[in-house]
Amino acid sequence: MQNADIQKTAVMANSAGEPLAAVLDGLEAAVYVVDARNGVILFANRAFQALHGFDAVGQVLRGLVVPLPERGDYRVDPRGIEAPDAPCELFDGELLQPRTGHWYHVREQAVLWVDGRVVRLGIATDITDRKKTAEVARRQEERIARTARLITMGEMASMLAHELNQPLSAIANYCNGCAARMQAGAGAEELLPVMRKAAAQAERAGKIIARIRAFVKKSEPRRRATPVAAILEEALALIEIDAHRRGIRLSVELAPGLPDVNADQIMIEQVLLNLVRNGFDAMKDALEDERVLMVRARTGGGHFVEIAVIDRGHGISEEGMERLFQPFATTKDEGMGMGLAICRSIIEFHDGRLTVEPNPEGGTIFTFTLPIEETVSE
Amino acid sequence: MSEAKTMREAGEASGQLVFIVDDDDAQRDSLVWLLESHGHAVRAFPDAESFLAAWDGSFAGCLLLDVRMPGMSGLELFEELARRHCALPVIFITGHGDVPMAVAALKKGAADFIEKPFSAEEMLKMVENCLARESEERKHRRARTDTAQRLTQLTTREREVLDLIIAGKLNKQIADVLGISIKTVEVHRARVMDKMGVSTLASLIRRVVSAEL
Repeated sequence: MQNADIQKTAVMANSAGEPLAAVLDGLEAAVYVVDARNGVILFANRAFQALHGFDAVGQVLRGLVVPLPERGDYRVDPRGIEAPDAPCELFDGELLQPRTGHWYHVREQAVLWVDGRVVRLGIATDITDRKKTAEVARRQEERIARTARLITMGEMASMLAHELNQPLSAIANYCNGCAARMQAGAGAEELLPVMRKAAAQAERAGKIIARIRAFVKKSEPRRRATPVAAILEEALALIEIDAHRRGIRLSVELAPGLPDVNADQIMIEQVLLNLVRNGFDAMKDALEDERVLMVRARTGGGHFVEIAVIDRGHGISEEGMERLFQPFATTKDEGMGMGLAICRSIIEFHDGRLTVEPNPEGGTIFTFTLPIEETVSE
Repeated sequence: MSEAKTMREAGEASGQLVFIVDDDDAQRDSLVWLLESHGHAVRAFPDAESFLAAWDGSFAGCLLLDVRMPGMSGLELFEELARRHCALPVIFITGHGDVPMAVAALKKGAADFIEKPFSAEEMLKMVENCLARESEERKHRRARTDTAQRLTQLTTREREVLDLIIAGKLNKQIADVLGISIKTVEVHRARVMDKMGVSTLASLIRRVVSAEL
């Protein structure tokens, strides 16, 4: 059976003629023809052979970057397609070659082969570069959105430092000059006007600080009655794609009838995003069926709602727990180490608490509480 | 005070000034005060444009330059001065977060940079180093222009003789190469020494070679 197929293929390759074979071999995309019923490879161009081995023709396709009926890649099982149904589209999607990490866009059609049987004609194009570029752009965008708020704070700190530097260094210069002259025996009449200038600069510094205070007050969080479901929905919508890409299942457990919380919705979303992302990172090396991240919201003690982010990742050592909330402490390669410290400040600003404990099933549980709307007295 | 005065006069006598370009009035005024208190002669400008308008090749000393200024920035002024072959050493005054800018300036030949708020001692030391270096370099430059000027006074024949002397040829060999008598070579040689303002062969060679570097 197999030998007969090879012979037929050889005959067909010949009858297709050398120019056509040369064209197909010259393509960067992998082109193949497979018997739809038994999966035996009937034709493969050079690019396909480079991927699957140069003895591919005649073997049963156990492909790396081809869809497989056993894996449930098809909506319609191609093994059952009869001649009258052809030609029809079988598959159009992206597949990962796990060994090389390359992505392929694969299209397959069912067509009638020269001998009348139904075959799968496939073409697989390497789209790794294109995918990478898109991925980088998307991440960039996400990062910008996430850090916009922090940047404003950072910029303000830098502006403040620059503005305060002027009067402070002027004061230092005036005083140092006076000291040098006093040592050389200068009299009060020479120094007095300069001392006054120094004092005026100290006042200038004070005014700058007053201005900063006013600015900070204006940019304080705006708290209002917020449904917990809205926070969860918005934050998780932002991170769903990321979860999918990482092969992580997001599970949400929202207790029914939760009261609204008194919170700045955007700020709490930032906290939640941060914690969920940390959870994702922690599960980077977790087994596939353990890659589940749960977000659970329920009433906490007293007048609080409690939101927990539960991962099944590598967990945090006792020593790590202690350092966790310190600024610049990070266990991640690309982390800034600011995330958790900022999360904690935001939650504490809301009169809530952010705590961390090991997950008894492995992994970590981050829990924060928010006061329910009624408890706030205006 | 008297000590400061004499130092200031010494600074003025040497023709060296500390130039300051800073847009912040208090910053500039206090810097003038501090530098004058330590005996430096100072000239201050509120922006890069007014410094450029005043600048000519005769400015000697060093320049304290604020990096951040509205209008032409410190860095832009520095680059413009480099284009005009200004030899003033430049010390950049930087604020919070300007260090990368300062590093870029250093790579382009700035003398140094100091971050606000700075210690007066450190800043004064930088200024003094720059002034000493600039004075030294100016002396060299003056010697070089002097030599170049003297070289133009030589006749073609004298220049030929000079080149052969520097190439290490004896009078006899020079006479052979140029096809003239030894006596004539000796006459040319004496004239060259005279015009170049030197009395020994060693100082003649040093002078010409260092000018050509």
